[in-house]
Amino acid sequence: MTFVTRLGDLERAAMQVVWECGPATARQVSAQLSERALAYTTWLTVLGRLERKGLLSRTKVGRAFAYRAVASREDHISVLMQQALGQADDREAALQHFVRSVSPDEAQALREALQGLDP
Amino acid sequence: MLLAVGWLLGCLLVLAAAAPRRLAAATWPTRAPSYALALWQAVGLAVGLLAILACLTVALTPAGDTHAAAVSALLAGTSAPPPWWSWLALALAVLLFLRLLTVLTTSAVSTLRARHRNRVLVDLVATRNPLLARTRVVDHDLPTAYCLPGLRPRVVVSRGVLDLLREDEVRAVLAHENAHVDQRHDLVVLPFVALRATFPRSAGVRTAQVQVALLVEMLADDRATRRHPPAVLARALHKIGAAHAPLSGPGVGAAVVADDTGTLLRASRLVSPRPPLSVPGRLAVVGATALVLLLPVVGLVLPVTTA
Repeated sequence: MTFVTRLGDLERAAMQVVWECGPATARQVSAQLSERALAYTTWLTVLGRLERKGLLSRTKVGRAFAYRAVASREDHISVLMQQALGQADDREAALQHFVRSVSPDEAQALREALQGLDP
Repeated sequence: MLLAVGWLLGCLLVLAAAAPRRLAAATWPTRAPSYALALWQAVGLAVGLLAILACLTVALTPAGDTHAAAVSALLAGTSAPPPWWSWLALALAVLLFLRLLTVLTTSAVSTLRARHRNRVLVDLVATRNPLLARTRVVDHDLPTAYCLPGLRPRVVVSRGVLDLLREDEVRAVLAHENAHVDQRHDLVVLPFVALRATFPRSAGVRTAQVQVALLVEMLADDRATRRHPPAVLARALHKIGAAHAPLSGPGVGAAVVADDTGTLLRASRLVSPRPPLSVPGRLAVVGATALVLLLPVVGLVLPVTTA
């Protein structure tokens, strides 16, 4: 469990670097996050995992790979929100929502139903 | 005269056409959602079984008077070679079975994939709260809350929810979503979603899917209101639902709105609760559930042909 949590933590840190500084190699990520005192091979693993998850793409630069974010943080959030608001195709099965949109009429009826209850 | 085929097809017709309408129109399910869910599941299973058995029975008709006699005659090779329509009916039964199987599998796989993908993104961009292990907050204005059930479940809320709701309301929403996760409501919903994807035009299937989705929400509401005042949960429903109302104009969400008319039902159930279904009422539902499941079995013991 701690291992998984730690990996997720490293992945978020590496993504943060790529989002803020643009395409980066494992050595560059390692240098940016030097306070973590991890071998650059560790970052190589982390970046490789992120690539397999489809979050980074890589291009060869000299003898190393430079990793680039496939989408910005904001893009990812808007994808999540589209799914959450039922605008994506998979809305039926994948997510269970607390409540989806209600029509204006329903909103009015709900308001009336709730009147008389304590504020 | 084909007694068994008539029975199977008759039951199929009643269960597929009339039962969903009657069940959806009934008011008792809101007073016993879990019992109603079991009945819906029984109806779904029985419809599938009846359809497959009807085809098989047609295929067996030329070979013997009962299912058992026909099968043993076929196995012993003592019956006349089956006519072409016997093979056709058999093929239909096999096709139907395979179709249902693949639909269920592909639906499950695509659901798992979409959910996995969603969780990867949530873990990447959402902030977590050390006090609420499963909960993730996505930084977005629009209020929304959902859950990702599974081995590593997540309950996701947007910052809009935290901005819009009072703390007690947020807690009630989280309790509702955690109930989904703990009781694995996604597994209950899945077969009906798969059926709907397969028969998008069937009114019965559509009704079943919408009703099951609604009943599952009611179950989660009930679980949440064990620890949170119902009025608080109802207010959260209203606040979040109303926040989306401007979005659901023509175009964007006609289908969404049509699917979600249950919100009002859920809220009124929370605000002015009716007593849970009585014990005799519950027994009656259990009996009906058992009866529905017995229908295909009865078809198996009826004579295939009457001399």
